[in-house]
Amino acid sequence: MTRHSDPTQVQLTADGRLKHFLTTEGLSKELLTEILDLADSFISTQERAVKKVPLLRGKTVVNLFFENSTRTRSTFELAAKRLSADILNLDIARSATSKGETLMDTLWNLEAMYSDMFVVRHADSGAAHFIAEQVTPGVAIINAGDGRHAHPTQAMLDMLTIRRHKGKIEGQTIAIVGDILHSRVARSQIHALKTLGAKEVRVIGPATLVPKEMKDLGASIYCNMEKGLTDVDVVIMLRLQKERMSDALLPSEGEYFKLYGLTEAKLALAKADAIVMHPGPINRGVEIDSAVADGKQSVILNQVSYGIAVRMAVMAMAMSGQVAEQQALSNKNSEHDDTKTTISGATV
Amino acid sequence: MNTSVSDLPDPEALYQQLALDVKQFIASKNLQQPLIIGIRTGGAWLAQRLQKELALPELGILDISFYRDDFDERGLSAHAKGSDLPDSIEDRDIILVDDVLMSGRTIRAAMNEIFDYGRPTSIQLVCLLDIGQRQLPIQADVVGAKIELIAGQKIKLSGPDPLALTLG
Amino acid sequence: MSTLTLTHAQVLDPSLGLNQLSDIVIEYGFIIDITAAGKSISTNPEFNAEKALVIPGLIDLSAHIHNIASETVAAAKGGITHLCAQPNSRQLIDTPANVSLLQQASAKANSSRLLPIGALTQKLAGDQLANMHSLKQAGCIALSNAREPIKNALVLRRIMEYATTHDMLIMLTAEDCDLSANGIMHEGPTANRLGLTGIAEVAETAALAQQLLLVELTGCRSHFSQLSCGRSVSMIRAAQAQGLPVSADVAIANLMFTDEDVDGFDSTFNVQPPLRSEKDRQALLAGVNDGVLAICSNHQAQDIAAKKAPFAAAEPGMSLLDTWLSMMLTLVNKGELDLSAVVNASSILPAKILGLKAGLQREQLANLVVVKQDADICYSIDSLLSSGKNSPVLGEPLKGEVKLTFSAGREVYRA
Repeated sequence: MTRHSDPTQVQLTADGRLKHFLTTEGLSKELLTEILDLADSFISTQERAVKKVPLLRGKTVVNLFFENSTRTRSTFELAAKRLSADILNLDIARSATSKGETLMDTLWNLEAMYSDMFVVRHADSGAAHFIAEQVTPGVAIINAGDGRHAHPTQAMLDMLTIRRHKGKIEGQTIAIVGDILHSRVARSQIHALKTLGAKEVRVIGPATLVPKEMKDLGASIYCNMEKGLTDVDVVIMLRLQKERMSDALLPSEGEYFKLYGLTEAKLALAKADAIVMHPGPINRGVEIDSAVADGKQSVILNQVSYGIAVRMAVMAMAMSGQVAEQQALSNKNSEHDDTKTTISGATV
Repeated sequence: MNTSVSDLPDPEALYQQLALDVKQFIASKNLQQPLIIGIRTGGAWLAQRLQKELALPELGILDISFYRDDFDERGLSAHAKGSDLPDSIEDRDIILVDDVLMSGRTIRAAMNEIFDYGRPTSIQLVCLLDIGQRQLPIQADVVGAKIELIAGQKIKLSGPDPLALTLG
Repeated sequence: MSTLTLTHAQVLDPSLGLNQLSDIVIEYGFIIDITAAGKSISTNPEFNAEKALVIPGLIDLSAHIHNIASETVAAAKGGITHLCAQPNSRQLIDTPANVSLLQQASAKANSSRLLPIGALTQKLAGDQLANMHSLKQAGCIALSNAREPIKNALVLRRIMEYATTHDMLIMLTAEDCDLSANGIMHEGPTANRLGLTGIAEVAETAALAQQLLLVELTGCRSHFSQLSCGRSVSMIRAAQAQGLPVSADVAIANLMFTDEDVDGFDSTFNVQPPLRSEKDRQALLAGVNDGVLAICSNHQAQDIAAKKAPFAAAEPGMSLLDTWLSMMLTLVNKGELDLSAVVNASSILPAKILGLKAGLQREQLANLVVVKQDADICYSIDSLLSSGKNSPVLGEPLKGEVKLTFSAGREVYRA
């Protein structure tokens, strides 16, 4: 009965600009495209002698990782550095924080250091969202993965990969294969793909790993990998965690690979120019055959390099949204009309 | 849309004069194969024309969105497209082109960005209009016209074909 | 004990078939007379109850009570005259000594009455029987294991047999903890979208089916607390039709909210049992309207810090004593519940289940509420008397304002 404000809108300013990046859900096609376009511009700055731009000079970014992930943390660190921000890395073992009090305490302590942005990874779904609601206005939150809920920067780098290799996302058929149930990446990908106009998003796996509610997100469900891969343009393989066997979700790695591992024979069912993606790190021989992972259709390594540009883009946009919102607030408060001469066009 | 004011110079005529002056300037400085770089958006239009007119092989487009010094007031421009410069600008003579020169902050940002691509031999500045109000020690080498605006007035170049100036 | 005459009240008591404008004469705590309005003869002080409803006091079959003083006062303001305290209150209700401590604290608070529910198993661990008979002797109205699991069906069978021997009421929750493992909300589209681990309906219905079969075997009088699934209601209905000695209740949250309210990760809506689908909510409402289900508050006050955490890390529960009656009357106002079904489900039926005197009978201690049924009311953190500010209806427009509460013959609240 109680109606909350639309949760996906917490990440937007009143005029629709990004101020946190928590989820791809609920963001417009225009905004997602803006992220991709800006990331494209940052790819070009990454090819220069000096890869840094001074955009976030003087800003402090804190990598707040409650779950360890050296890879993701490093790409955020590099992205922040290339935007000229100061970056502080905090790896907080999950065991050290008991309940929410400690999370809040950690946050308040860090705010006292005049941080401007938190990049948050946490094992609880909704953690980044929670922090965004609690944090002091003006501080941007970037979700680097929360539980099974969302991993929006990974999804956007996947979108960029598809766009750069296939030209566009509209009209493509994409198959996501593997442990959909536990995958925050898959959820974020499905939202982004549907918004960006993909023709069909297929999720492929056994019923233990593919919840039937995935169809409510607009995905079609395939339990047979051969059928699911037929005529697709993009194949996204997900990493299979070893715990799935002890959780009685799967009998064995061997049987999983036989049914859902990507081999050259299975890939041959997809379109001839189909690309193969994987958020990494890959389990060779578990979800993907080495020959495919290293094959000519694989774009797995390109994904990694796009990751920095996408993270630069969302960090710049979120910080920009916060700056604009704070400026609008202080203008409203001061209400005085200064007669600055401004020149339009792109320059001053 | 703002109406055109009669005492504003005709930008097309202004450009023709500017092109001649640039040619002469290049000759006088004895620059060999200079690289024309236009600042998005107005400067880029002018640079495109100058490149054709001077029959130079390359053109650079500079988007200074990532180098602006007013991020804390305005945030990132929604139209940031990124720059497009030739592979190397090392040891090149650069003709940097902008539409309107005012505070000098755009030119400061543009020079910083250029140096992130490499070390040019020289940078010469070409502007269609100089409206004064400088805040930094930057002057143009070639200027189409100098005009003065009253406080609060804005001027905008639209184009690329034809070029038009509007006051607001 | 109080003496008072309520005048010109709309008196509603479905157990007596009463629904008319009446005066109620209370002397020394006892209801002496219920007459047609304006016909009472007494020299008592009067309370003008014109345009107000008088109903039997609410009897809450489940509340978690940590602070007895604040919570019984909140209950009185909320029209609740009797409050069953779950055994996992501040002090575990698993020894006669703890029962009397609780009773002393309740007597000292001198507000709505607290009825202790004793533990079914020692330390609620689910494997050894608590001293069930001693707990009953000490004054426990019933025995339950809160929502802690009794994993072993043989232990449950022994509990039922032992309870039957001594004619004790046991209260069970239906949850197969293996099926609900790590679950945090209803399994469905919202849980999938939010990436929160779901609790399938079968976790409740499979456990309920097993428990009903054990009731059939042992003949144990059993009350099923806080059912959340539509399917469970039909199972209880069928068991009752079969003649099994079973009753059941639903928590008010499950009548008012659904899993979609969890959207936005609002930890206020982290409750056990979980909020389920709209279809379930409709079946639960129907269960109340046709008299199968009682309603409980399942009140659970939490500190602000306990709720200020990501959804799964937040403590479960809602603070509901202040607002329970208003929430039910709001559902009446929306046409989802019948008024007489609400009185039945929150007072008459609980009294029968607990073996208490039900309704507004003459010569009984007065347990009643005077409430302006259609008055608009809106609760804020400051207006809640409960120590828990974790209310799901703060700032929501609700219906029903309590004007007067009598609990066991004492006036415990007057607006």
